[in-house]
Amino acid sequence: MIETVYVEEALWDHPRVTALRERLPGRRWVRCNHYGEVFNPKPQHFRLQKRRPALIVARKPSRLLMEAPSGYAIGGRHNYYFSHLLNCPYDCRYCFLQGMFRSANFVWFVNYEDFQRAIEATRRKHPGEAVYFFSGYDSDSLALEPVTGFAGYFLEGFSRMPENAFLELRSKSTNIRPLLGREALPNVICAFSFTPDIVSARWEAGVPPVERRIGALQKLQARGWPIGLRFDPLIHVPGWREHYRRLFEQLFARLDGGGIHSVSIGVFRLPRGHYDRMVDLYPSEPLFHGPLAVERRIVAYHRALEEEMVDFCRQALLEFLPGEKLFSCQF
Amino acid sequence: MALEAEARPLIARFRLKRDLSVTAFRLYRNREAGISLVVTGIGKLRMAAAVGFLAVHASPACWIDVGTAGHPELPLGTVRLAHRIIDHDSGRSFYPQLVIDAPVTTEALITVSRPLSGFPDPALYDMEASGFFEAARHFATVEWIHALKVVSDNRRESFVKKQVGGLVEAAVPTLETIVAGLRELHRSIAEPLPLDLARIAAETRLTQAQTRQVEKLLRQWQALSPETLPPEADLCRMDRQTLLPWLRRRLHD
Repeated sequence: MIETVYVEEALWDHPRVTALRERLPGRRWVRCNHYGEVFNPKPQHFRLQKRRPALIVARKPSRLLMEAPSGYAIGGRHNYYFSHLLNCPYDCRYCFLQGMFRSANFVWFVNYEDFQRAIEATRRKHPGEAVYFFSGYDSDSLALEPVTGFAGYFLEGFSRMPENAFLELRSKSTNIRPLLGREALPNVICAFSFTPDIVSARWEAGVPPVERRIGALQKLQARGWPIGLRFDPLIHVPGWREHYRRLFEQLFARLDGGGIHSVSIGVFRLPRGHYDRMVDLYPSEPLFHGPLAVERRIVAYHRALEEEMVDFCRQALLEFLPGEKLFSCQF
Repeated sequence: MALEAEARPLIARFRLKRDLSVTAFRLYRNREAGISLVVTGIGKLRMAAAVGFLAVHASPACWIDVGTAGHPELPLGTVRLAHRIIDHDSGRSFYPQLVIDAPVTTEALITVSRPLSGFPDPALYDMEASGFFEAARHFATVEWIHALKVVSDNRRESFVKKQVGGLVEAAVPTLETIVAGLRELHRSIAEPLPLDLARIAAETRLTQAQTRQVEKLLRQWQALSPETLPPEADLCRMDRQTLLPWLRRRLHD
């Protein structure tokens, strides 16, 4: 539960802030000049803050859209990501955000209209070509929906756009009410991330169990939403082949492979600096001391193991869906 | 704490004894309880110097600035924890992060260099907290640094030095709750090695850099296979030329 809400002074009377104040009475509301005053100072303890993250309400003035790293694609040539939220309510031990940000507090950028304008302008730069906008890079797209109303706003925006503009909502949340409450949009992909049960139970604190997420995807698919499956990152555990095979069977036993927009596989890779910070936070975490190697300042599973895991999962997934729907996110 | 009069109730409650081996500031300690208190004098510069002094002499894990403050409205004796500390001179703000239950309401706290008349904003006013926070940030992360203030004057009632002890006394239960919360927090994230690293370093004459590498390797070992950690005595029998390669070899086997 959010106990403290920091608000940039200039946004104190913003309609989204006013609405939130009504929804979250009795919280500690603190004014700040700029979100960076709270979020950026160096001496912060991510692990401690993760126990009671505060919400920081801010305006993102620039760099609203970023080009996605090459290799981060699900079928389009033009790929961008945007972040209305920094940090995530879940606590996945492998998550790179732990190493990227000093603070575990959420930063919520409320200037949705500016994001929407940037998306529109970017889409216009690529007439007639598919342009993908990824929303779940620095957070989970749906997990804080009751606070942010993000999906509600952007679904409306994308419903008015030509179908060459795609939005990917990436989530581990079963908070799908805003999607079920409206007509499905062919240009919005509801992508859910999965790891096998054994990994999820051990390293994805707060995340709904795999079965519940599959249930949510099933509902979305039944309502006609294009859905995506994301196995990113692949996590190595003893018996990983069997665990991943079982996960794929679990998913495709309940989902219609034909109605799946895309499936992507990503590897466990961290910049060395991120990795070092994560080890400092959790020095005795076995996940960070597994079969890892450092290559060009990137920490990842040994190359042979990484290739083996990707190949295995790729082959296993090809039993359920055609190759053109399968993507490897490697960068 | 800025004043000896403010410190007295805490010295009594926590059974602190003056440490006469140091003279730059008045330092009181209870080593068994792990509590140190320094009387800083008035003003943020003196406070910042005292924080550095305390860091050297006591290395605290958490830091609390306890003292009195003015407020335009709040009655005398009201206890508040700071959620934002504003340095009036520079305009800089600091935000203590509350990851424990706050036993009292929180408030903004403005640190001024000279006493202000009338307290223009609805906030606490003191003369030390920004210096305290800015200095303590060099020794701890912001979850471990807090300012607890008791209202000692407002627009209707002036500061009376004689009353200070009684006012701070009223804040002691709140302070104890905060200290207990922070101690519990500290315990909850500690991941001690089941080996005495200091002893291993001393016996094998490791340099500081080597000690850090040994710690890293032992943590790796503990994470992967805690039941096979080598006995401390075996490690102590090695020397610094053999210990690190041996650990690396065993971990990669």
